[in-house]
Amino acid sequence: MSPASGTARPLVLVCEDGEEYLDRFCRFFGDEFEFVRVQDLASARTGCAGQPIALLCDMDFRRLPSGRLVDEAGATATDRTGDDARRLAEMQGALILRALRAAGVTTPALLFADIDDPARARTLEHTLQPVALVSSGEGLAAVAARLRSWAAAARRTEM
Amino acid sequence: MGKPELPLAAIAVLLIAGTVTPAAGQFRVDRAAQARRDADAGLAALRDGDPDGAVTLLRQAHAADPSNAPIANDLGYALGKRGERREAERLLRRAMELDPRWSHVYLNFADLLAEDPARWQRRDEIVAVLERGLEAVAADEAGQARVTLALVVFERSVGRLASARRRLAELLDREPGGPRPGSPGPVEVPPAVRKRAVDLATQIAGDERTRALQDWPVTSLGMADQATVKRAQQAVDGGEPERALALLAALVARLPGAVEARFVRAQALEALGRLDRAEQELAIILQLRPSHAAAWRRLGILLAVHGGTLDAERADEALRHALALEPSWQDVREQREKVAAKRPPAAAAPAAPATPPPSARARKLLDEAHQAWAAGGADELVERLAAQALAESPAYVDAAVTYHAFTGTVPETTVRALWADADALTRLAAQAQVYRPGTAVVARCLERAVALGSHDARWWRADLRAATGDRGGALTDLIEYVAGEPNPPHIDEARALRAMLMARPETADPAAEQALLALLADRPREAERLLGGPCRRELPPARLVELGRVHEYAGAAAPALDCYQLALETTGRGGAGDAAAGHAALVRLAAAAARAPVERLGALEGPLRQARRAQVPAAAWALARLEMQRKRPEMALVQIDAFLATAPPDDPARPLALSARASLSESDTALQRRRATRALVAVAALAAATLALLAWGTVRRLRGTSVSRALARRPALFPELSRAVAELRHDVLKHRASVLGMADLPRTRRQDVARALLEPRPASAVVAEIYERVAQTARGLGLTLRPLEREPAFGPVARDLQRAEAALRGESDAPLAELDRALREEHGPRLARLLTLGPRTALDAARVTGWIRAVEAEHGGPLGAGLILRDMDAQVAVDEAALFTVVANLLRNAAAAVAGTSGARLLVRIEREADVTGRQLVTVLVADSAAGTPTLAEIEQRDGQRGLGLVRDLTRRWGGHLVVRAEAAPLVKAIGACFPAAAAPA
Repeated sequence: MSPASGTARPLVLVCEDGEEYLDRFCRFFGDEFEFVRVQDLASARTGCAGQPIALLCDMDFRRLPSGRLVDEAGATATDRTGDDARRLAEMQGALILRALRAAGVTTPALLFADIDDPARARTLEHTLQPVALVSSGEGLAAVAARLRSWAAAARRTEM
Repeated sequence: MGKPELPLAAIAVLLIAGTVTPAAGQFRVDRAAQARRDADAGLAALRDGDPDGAVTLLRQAHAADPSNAPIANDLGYALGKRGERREAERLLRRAMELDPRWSHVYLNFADLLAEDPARWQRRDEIVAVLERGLEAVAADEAGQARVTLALVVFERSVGRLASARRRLAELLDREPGGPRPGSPGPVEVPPAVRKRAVDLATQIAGDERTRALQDWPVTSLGMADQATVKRAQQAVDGGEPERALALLAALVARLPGAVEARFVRAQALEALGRLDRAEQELAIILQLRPSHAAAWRRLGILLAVHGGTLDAERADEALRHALALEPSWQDVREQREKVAAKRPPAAAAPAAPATPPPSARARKLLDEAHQAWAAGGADELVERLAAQALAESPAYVDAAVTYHAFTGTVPETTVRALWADADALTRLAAQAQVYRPGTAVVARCLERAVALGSHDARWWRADLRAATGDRGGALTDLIEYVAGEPNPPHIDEARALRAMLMARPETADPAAEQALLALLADRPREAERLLGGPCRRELPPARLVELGRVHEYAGAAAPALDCYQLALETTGRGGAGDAAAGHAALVRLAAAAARAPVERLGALEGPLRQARRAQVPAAAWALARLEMQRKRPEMALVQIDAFLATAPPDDPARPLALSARASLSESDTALQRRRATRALVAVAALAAATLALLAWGTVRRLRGTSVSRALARRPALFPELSRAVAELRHDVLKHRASVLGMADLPRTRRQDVARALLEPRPASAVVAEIYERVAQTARGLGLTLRPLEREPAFGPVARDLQRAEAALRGESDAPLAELDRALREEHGPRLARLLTLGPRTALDAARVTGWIRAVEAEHGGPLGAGLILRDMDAQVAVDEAALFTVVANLLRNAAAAVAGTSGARLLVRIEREADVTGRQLVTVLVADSAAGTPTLAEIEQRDGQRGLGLVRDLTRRWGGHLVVRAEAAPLVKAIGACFPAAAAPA
């Protein structure tokens, strides 16, 4: 994992329980950005030390073992029951981002989720800022445009 | 004259200075002797039940003589007894290092690790340590016996029963003092080792039998699936087994652990004469639910009637199981007398591997790598040779395992080469896990192998999931593994892993389990003794029921009925499990009474009516017999009809009831006339309705129903529909179709876009599959959806994806940019709008009060429940009937909990809240003042057919989750269901 710099490809952390986002981004934008996958809060924390220019978070983590899911307080537990684990998995992306924000991580993030309730979308954007919600209606090209603008901003900051 | 003696302190100083080595020799001897004395005293203290004193003395001994293997062993043993597992293991390992040929330590090590909570994850490592021990003691026959026993002890603890059994058989085959097979020298199996080996053999046989009798967790069926099973059963009963198979195909594929559906499928297969398949189906059902008496009965009869002579033993075993579980089945009893023997069918040959064999050069390179490894060569060399072997033959699994052992990964070319070969992927993952467990590549290979349909991979993934703390995932995999085929190779380990993952039910009675085993061995007297018989008032009701069952098995109806009656009389004593025992007593009493001499039934009328109220079908048949004896044909007919409406299709009393019904109907002409008139009116009405419906229905069938209209007519479709829409938006629109907009950009390779849309299956095929699931659920609810291409919300998605796929294959020049826009801006939002059309049930005061009143009416009096609405406008996207079932069951559960307690309080509370992500939730809570609070984990284990188990399943189906909260006095706790608030209407 390398820090973002003027010459190296900018680092982007992809936080998901599978490999679908990583596969897609690497295939189309692998020559522009360095994508590194993290699967849970612990690895996301470690990944943030590499100064990524962006975090890309999936919302639903139902494939992650329940012992690695974090709750509203950012804590893991080994004895989660089916309902508790399912509830946390459904919003795990937001919970990981929430815990990162609480730890002072200010890297801009994209949260991939179809939020049909506008009030809920506003709550997420407010509590997890800087974040943008990406629905299934947003194409890959638009996602790439956002990443490029953040990469340019990161370069300007370094200069 | 000897050397002058020095004071001990002086010797110590000189020793440290290294100046008096000759004297130190003498001193070492003294210290060693003292250490031995301390060790002996320590062991004596241990024998006297003083582990603390023992540890103190043995620590002294070990400090005095740290290179003494037996002392390190004794200290490790004593620490283990005191529960200090980690320190104990360290010392036992130290003893092994000091003297690997001292065999006693391995047995202590195995005893310690056999109870280690982490033994499952560490099993390969522990077995390797013990197998190394076996090599170390190769020259010592008694030592070999001891270490073999140690391996058996440990393997038993992790469910490797086959291996443990094999080792034991070898050990016990050796005659004490006689020559060992293939060895000229005398054999020494120490008597203590032999005795323990014999005990272990008995225990392993017991383990196997007991585990084989335990049911796997129930796969609950939703309402739509239950309706499908019911229709399939009707199809079988109506002589349409093919139709039943077609109805059940998708359900069983989706829920392989659905025993009810599989049982109907077995009947359909049998009706079609596909007896081998029917037998396989029954074997899987019994693997999943060994308590399924009807499946044992059907399997036994199938083997007895259709099987050849060599099947007799299996047939009898199945019939014996059926009879032990349901002793009232007279036909099973008779069938046992007719059984003949038959040979089991030969196992199917394993499929040939799909990947090419490695080249000779690759094999040679890997041999060199293994030689270098064995010779302790540099890791880099082994890794390089394995990598070269893989470069030569990428699908070479053994080379990939070696490479993985050193790097924790596998070259991408190898993964790709094996991508279509489930067996090879499973083999790679299974072997790779032994050296480096839990790597990403192991998980990936297993995911893929499971996706390709490998049952074996399910077992390995369950193993991996259990090791990573994913208990739920592990259990799901295990159930699907057991449901996958009869007698799968890891069945013993799967049962052992289940035992680790699931807490043993508190209600399990070891004596009852042993008694059942005795019955299965055809030893009813022993079963009675194990249960503490004969029946008497002092015994708990559950035990009385089991004793009655034993009498029934032995064909003694009168004492069986006495036991059941006694059980019913004693259930009011308030013991644990009283209610369940009372119900079991009613069920058994009714079953026994249904075939008892009719003269006896008058005395049983009270309990039989009680059983009838509890909806026990056999009670209706017993009462019908009583009414017939009293010459009251109309009353008898009512009971017979009730029996025929509720008894399982397989109930052997059905033919008797049907025959009695026919004869009663004939003899009662008045009744017959009334029925004829009623039938005429019904037929006329039906004909008129049919004519009207035919015209309307024909048009409807031609058109089908759109999803939105189906939803308006059957709100129960909503859970499946919302899952389908979520899956479509996430898996298809987001992960597949979102790349379409990239196709026309200059730096994009078109084949990358094509791969995203076409591989592994075209996205349009995924849409079709998702839609078929919705259509299947709709069919279960009695609706036919339009064909996909004409469905207004799903159809355009499939259609435009097909156009895009054709363009990417080069078969057309459809405008990809336009298709991309339509999918994202039109079709996606149209799908999302379906989610706003779900049911909306307001939880207002009038509705909830009405529900409470309904439960009170059923309860037979006021519950005294209060109601608090924290939000006057709480609405949930849940069907009213489902919501009522949830609330009613929560109330019934709370009412049962407070029954008989003083100052009982019940409170229903509706709350609206938002979670940290802003999602609006509505929670229905029922609080009560009874002591004791079930945990979510306990509720997780409950039967999904009633009570909190039903609440759990129904809540999940409608997208909610259960909550258990502590409450302020005088209340104690609240149990409830939390649902997402209804979305704003479109």
